[in-house]
Amino acid sequence: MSGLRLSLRARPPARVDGSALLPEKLQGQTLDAIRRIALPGWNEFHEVGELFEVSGEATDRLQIDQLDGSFDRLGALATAGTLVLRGQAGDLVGEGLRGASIEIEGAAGDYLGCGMRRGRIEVRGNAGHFAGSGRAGELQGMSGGTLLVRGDVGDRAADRMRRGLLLVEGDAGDYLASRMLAGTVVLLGRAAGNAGYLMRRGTVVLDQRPAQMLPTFNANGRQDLLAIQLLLRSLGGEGPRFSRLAARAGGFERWLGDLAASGQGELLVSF
Amino acid sequence: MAESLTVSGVPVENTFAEAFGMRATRIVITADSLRWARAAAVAATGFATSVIACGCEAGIEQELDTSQTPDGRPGVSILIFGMSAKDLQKQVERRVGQCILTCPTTAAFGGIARDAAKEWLAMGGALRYFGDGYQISKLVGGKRYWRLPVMDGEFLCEERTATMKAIGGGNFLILARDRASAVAATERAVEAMTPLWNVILPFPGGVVRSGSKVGSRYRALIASTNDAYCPTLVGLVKTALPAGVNAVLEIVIDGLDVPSIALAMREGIRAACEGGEDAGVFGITAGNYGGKLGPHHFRLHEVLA
Amino acid sequence: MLTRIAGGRVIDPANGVNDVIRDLYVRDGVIVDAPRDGERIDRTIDAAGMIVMAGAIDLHTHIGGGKVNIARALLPEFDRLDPMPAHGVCEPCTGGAAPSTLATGYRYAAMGYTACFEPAMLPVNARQAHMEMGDTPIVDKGAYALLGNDDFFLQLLASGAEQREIDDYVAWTLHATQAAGIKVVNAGGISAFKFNARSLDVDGEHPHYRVTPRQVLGALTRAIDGLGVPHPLHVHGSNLGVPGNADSTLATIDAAEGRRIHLTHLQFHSYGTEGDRKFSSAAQRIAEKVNASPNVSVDVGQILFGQTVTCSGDSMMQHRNARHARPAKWVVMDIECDAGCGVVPFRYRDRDFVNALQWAIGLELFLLVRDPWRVFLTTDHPNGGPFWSYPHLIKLLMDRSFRNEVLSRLHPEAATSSTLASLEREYSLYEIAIMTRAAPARILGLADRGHLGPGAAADIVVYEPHSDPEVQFTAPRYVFKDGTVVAERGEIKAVTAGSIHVVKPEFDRGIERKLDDWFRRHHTQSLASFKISDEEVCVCGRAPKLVTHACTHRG
Ligand SMILES: [Zn+2]
Repeated sequence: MSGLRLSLRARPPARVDGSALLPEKLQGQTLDAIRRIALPGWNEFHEVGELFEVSGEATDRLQIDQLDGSFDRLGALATAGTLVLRGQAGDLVGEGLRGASIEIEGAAGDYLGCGMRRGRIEVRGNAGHFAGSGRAGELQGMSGGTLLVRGDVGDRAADRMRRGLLLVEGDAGDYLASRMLAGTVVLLGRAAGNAGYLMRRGTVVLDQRPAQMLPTFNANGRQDLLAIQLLLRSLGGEGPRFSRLAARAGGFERWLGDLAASGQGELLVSF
Repeated sequence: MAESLTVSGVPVENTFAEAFGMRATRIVITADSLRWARAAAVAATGFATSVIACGCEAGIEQELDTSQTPDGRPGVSILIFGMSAKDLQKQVERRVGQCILTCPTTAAFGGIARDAAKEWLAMGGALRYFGDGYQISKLVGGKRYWRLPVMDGEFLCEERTATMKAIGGGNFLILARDRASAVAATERAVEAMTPLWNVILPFPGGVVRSGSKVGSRYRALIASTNDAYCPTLVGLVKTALPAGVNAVLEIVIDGLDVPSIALAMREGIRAACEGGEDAGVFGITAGNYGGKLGPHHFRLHEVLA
Repeated sequence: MLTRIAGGRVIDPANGVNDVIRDLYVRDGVIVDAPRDGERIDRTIDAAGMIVMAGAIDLHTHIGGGKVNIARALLPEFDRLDPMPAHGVCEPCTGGAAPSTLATGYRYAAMGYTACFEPAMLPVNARQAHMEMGDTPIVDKGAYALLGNDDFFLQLLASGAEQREIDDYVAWTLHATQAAGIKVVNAGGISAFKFNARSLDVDGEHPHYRVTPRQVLGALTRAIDGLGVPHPLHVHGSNLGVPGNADSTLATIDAAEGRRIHLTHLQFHSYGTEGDRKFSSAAQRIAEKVNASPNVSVDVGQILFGQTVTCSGDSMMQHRNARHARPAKWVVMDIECDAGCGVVPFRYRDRDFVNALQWAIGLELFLLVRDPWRVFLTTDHPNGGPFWSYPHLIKLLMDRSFRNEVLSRLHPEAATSSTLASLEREYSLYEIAIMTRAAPARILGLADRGHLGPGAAADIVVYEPHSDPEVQFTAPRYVFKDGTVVAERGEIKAVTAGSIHVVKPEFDRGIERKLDDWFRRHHTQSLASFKISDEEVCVCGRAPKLVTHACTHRG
């Protein structure tokens, strides 16, 4: 396998900001220089060499192994290259992503891909709360790119989402797509309570009837819309479960809301 | 280059078709059935024979099967040619708005590859306001679409369509014994050119009888009938018609590039000449303005080589 | 312990000292006379070649009270862009558009500021304001209590109460809220806003109480003079930010009828309506009036380009400004039916005509008001810009070519619509020392601050001279707070706690009978729990010392 490889060997005493570990920043550096990079911790800095076994060659591909959830902001603001994370990735992975590809062969913490603008994040396991949302104070969440979670997502996924694609194979917690501004969410599992709460615009495709439908959504009847077909066809490459969804005929039960906001969003529920 | 060239025994004059730089866009119209895609395409490319009077030149390029369209439905691709991106913008907005948006079950997609794109024209982006605030924008596979609520559901229209550099005014003239032979020859030619990509024949049925020259005795007109080719003026004006020629028809070709036009001219001329002089085709020539106006010269002998 | 700061070039305008080489002596946090021969000097700090001034004092900076907290809650995204990791003795915190209390204290101290005055403490929020200021390390604090839009005051005025009663209420407020002065914001306007008025000029009538801002200003300036409160009435005028408001500002000065008045963030109140865009500089007109009125002092409220957040009690004007919010979110709220609050984030852009002209107007005021004892260096932090841009602002004042160079990069009409380019004045170091030290101490009645004479608190700043004043003022070589070296070269070395400055004029406590009844009927708390005692303010304000400054009757 080509590229640079960091393998965690000692659990840091507290959370560490891993945002400096970007393929684009490390590319071309010597292993020794990389070992000397200081990562800010809670109240102290840790050198990469103290925390990780460093091997390989710094190309546009970086793999970090044995992650234990204590590194936050891995891949934040990345613009290019591939970052492979194995184990438990911490919070804020891919925050504000601008173009790179992040593959998580494990699970992700909270705020996965929050504020991402471009690029792609794929998680094999589960993601925490606020996946594809924005951090506190931000007027919008994710605004582009593709965020694919093969497992479940926690609460508030796609909160204030502005643009882009959130694909979830598993279930979603409460308040899926709350305050959504636009963009697309496709959920193959089941959404817990309050899906679409205060969404203004945007599309949420639910392959299963949600646990609860907000009273501020109005039924729009069964609709077979070309735009949704086109959308689902475009997901064919994301795995067999998505192609199955694209192949199903007959359209969706469509709900419009949230009428407590501007009511221009749509929930499309398989029937 | 040979001094004389014949195709199926029909002499081809050693001259050239003079063509002009234009801008063009391709729009792919899909519908639940080919019938409705075609209906929209015919309407959208109607009244588009000459850029001067119609604002654009347009025609159906190809009918597309379900594997050739973005949404997996049957469709038709049309090409629209204009003198500038600005002119095209106006035409695209009107034609898509009046002829595709209105037509049952249809959708409209931009059909020019991104790397060939010169300028972008607003398509759905211009029509979206018809949605009166209920329009929905959707980004799919990196392209933005607009969804306008209409009475049969939604009209899906790609936000924009690209223009590319194109060429208008490829042509050849068929000199025939009589009107019937001339028409038959053009019908053979048009049929041979129909399967070709990247070109359209903007005139009715692909054929034009009113060949024109620059200028007129009437000041208000910039062009007038090409008297040298009118059989009813033989004996009155300096005619270009060889003895025995009593009818001439022209085929005009607009295309996206030089090879596509050259190919179309070759296929068209060969089909027109099929059967030779026995079929009443006595000669092939081409229209030009002495080579001073248009940058593209399609020499008939080269095209056929 | 006796410390000698040896051989510095002392600039101490309060004592008439201008660039004289001498030693300073500090014992137990206080500046003392030179010791007698043979007395032991424990520590000598070599200040040879360096410039020595008293600690700087910011008399108008929003560092406490509800609105700053609202701004912080509204804009956490800017905190994240300005992290201040734990470093040395400093705890981790964040700066941003509305900096944390810790960042505020650290950055002020690192820059040589040793006292900060919160200008807009709502009496009903006073306890929280003191706690918040108490959380701000190192610097001394004080606050001005807001009056003039509260219903008790307005109904007193409307009912034709005697001035004596108003004096008592003002004094009672100073005691109850542990304040160092009184401020009025958009006199009567905040209250009028709640009665659906959207503007109220100096002679406009309050829709309910039927009193005018002129009457409010008259009553409050009389009270301040009558009680002998050292700081003049601190006035945020009518029509803040509105083109043509210079007329209101001139009327406000007249409303004081010669009594002392301090016009704050004057830049926002010096606008004309000339030109194609109906927005012009009235700085010249205003400055002439200020120059001719010895009873008037001003601070500028300079704007500097970039992201900021405007925090004001002026809900009427903030409601008007809300449409300009960047990012597009804002808060305008009522406070306990007794005051207002508006928080509107804003980004000043140098290519924007209005913003560029605002920048020029501020500098015009600095340069056209002749007496440095009556014009103070403020950005109305955070409204016009963060306080940590003061060194840049000082450079703009001291260096004409730099100023004109910046001007040339702005929206071109800023230069043609103002006189700034033609102003030749450059502030001297001595004048900077007046406007940032001696003058604020004097106008606040702080006898023991802002100067370097024996008996003064040992708040001392030692600068390495530099040809670029911005460099010089950004990171002084040493900053002493009450005798402790708290910062060196911009780095915090010790985290101390500052004192609280208050005034306590005498008054007739009989007013409490009326107030008690008012509180029972209209307030959410009792009079007794509204009042903050000396002990409590020191505990919640984490102050080792409550410094009460003398009031001298001037009525
Ligand atoms: Zn202020």
